[in-house]
Amino acid sequence: MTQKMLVSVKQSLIEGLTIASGAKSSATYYHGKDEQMKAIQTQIRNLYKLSKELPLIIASQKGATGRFVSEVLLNEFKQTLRGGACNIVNPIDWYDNGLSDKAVLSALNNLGENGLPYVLRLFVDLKDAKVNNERTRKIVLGFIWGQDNLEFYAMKYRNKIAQILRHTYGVKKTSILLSIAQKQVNIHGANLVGTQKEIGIVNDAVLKYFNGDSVRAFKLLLFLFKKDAGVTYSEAEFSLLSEYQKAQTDITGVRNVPEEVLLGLISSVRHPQYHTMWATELQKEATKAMIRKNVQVTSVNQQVRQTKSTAKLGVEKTVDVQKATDFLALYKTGYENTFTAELKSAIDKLAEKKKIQGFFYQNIGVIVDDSISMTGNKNESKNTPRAIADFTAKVLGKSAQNAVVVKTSDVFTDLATSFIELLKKEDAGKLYDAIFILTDGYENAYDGLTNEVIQIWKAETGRVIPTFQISPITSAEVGANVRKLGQGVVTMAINNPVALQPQITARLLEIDTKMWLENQVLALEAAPVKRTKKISVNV
Amino acid sequence: MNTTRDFTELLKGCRPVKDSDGNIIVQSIMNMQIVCLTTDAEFSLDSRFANPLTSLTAGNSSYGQMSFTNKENKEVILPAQMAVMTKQSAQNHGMVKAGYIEPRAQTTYHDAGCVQGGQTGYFRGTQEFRMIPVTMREMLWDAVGQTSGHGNIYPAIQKLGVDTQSGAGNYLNVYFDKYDKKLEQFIAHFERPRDLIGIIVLIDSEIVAVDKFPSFTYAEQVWDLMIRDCYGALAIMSELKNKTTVNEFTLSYEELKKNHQDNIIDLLEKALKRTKKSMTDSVQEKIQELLEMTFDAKLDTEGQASGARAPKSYVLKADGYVGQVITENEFNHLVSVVKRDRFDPNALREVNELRKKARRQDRFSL
Repeated sequence: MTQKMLVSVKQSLIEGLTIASGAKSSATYYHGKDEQMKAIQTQIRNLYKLSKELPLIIASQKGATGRFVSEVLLNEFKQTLRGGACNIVNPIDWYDNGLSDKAVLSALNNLGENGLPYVLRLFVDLKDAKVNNERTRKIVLGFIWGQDNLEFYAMKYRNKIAQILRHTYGVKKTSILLSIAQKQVNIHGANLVGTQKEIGIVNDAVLKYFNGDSVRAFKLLLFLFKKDAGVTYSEAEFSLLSEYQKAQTDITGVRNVPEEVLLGLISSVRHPQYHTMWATELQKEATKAMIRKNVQVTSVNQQVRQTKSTAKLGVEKTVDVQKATDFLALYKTGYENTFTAELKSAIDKLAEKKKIQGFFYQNIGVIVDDSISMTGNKNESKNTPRAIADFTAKVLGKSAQNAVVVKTSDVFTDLATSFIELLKKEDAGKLYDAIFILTDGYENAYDGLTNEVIQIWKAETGRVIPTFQISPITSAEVGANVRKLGQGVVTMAINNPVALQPQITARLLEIDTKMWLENQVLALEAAPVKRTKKISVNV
Repeated sequence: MNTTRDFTELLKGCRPVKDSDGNIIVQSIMNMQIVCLTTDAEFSLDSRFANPLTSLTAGNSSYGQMSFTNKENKEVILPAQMAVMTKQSAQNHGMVKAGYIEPRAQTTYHDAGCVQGGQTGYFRGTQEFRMIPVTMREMLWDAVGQTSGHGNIYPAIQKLGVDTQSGAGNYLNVYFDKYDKKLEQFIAHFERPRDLIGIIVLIDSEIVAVDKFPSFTYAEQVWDLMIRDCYGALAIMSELKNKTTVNEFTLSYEELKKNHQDNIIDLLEKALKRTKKSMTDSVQEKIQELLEMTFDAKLDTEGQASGARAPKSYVLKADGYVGQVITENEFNHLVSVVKRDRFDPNALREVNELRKKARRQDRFSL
């Protein structure tokens, strides 16, 4: 890399990391959906032009938003293996030694950590973008057929997975596969006995990726494409689908079918229990309550989010909040109801779990903007910025050895007063080595007041300590910038405390961009990812 | 029926929102400041009026008029100078004033005006409401009661186009199209306090607009539109004129530093308190000046409900200020006042000073 190029790479990486951890697909208080998408796509294009590895490196970072990772992968799949130029990694390593695959799969796993629907949405986007090259096909099939819990996902995301498979296989091949599956399943229990050609097709399209016997794969396939009339799912082999089959005629006592699937079944007028359980508003409420009470496969995070509606349905359900991993769900439940001791403890434990390993700063001061604007706006889910700020403050507190946290006291954003309060609380033996201000950046007293106070304090004391403004407004601002408090304050936008470390790293990579990149590539190399869990596939 | 109204009477029951130190909270951006007003809960008629943005639908059947249908069982106070900016194949229109509409009633204002010159067509059943920018208000209130023609608002749009360099001509949508993105962000600059009942807007430390709403709920309902559409024009104009905030804190600090030996944190705290107090004092002084003002109030009947018990609308005029009040049995539901563009408040100051002197003089005697 030339020095000139290094400067461009550095700048693009910083902007890329800022957008990757802030931008999402929905509209926010400050930005429309289209603007955010445009900002993401422009950023990815710029990074890709510089070197094709850069978008994937950023997409593999913890804290990159689902939408950003999706767009990176979509771009990568569109470009195929041969598009773009490798300017950072040796092309031999990238293409021949499988680094490209590892980068894609790391990003895909990162996306999957946001939840399976994110990955499925990406695969559906592939259909809309008419992308179906060989590498993409293998990655998609490897991901779907490689899911440990495919039976559950098949039930929960039946139509979506079918849509993806139909696109990946093509209409003709789908039809062939279904025809083979119907033939084999009807033999009932027998091993695959088909023509050599049929065996080849099934091996190549399914069994190469699937951890299970052929009959199980065929039954799943028939279920997904709704061609399973007459197929029986035994309780021993298909514990979930057998319940689903039962629910098609009787939903009472069903425990392992997702709530939304059951609601979908009973709300159809063709369901035998429709007229007794769903025809009137009263019946609907009673049925919803029964389903909420019975179903055991609702995730803890979803159960936490359902706290209010569960109470409204009159159902008493014990939720083990300690197992929740979604801090937004925990905080919003707290804001809407109350922060019980149990909830507080769950948040505390989660913050401990999410603490930043090897955090650069030991003694930190944190200011949390608690003004009205932090509760969000009609465009944004209520209390989201506030929850992000509160949880980030907690995570920061856990990550450093000593942390002093100050909240703004009036309903208006008066950060300057809080800054002085923070200084007053500084322990002479543990001087702050960084200050974090969690705010949307919209000061009310007057624009730039806080920055004035900070700059005078720094000038008068000669203290050189980094001051970070962390904006919980999760959007891609024009030019990858969020509303800044001032010139002397480093500004970053995050939607999750997990994004903090890459954001701080982004600032630190200014010091040694090459070393940062080298570390990222080494991390990719060491990533334990494979296209399939069965065998490795080479294009 | 003409009468007079004192400014103190128009805003009776209201007081500025203050912080825990007793300072008036002044929110600023560039050279623009806003002060929020609140009142006691008993003076906020939350349950009486319906949401004007959701309970009304607008339509027209002739250029220069606007009809509103109230579909709720509650009365509606129409905010001052609302416009319909529609996607229908119709000409956008705007109101030149505020209004009052009875429950489940329909009323037509014939003194409305077109805000989209060459477009033709009538709109119906729409709720695509925007507020007309505050800088146009003065010219619009001067047009209240003018029912001939449909061009009541054109001169004000032309002036807005020049002031904001948007080249709006007779098309208000051109201005909004150009600045919508900026205006949307502008909302985030200001925070609406709980129990908001009114707003005072200052430019270069001079009061340019005062709005008082019927209730806390009503204020919440119209806040975004008021900030974005109405007051936003002032910020756009400030930005075009390159107006910036003076570094008041730095000045205060430097001043204090000369005479104090305190440690740095104490000094910063004192400087901050002094900065806030100075902002409070400045605003207080400006509000104080308005307190002496008396408006001529002229009854406005065009389109307004005429029932004996219905609230009345008056157009207010005083030296340098113009506005409107919707009032009922001396209770002011909605007040909206703006400073005239050409008016120099210093002139008022001189008049007030002379009046004060006159009051201090003893009657002639030997």
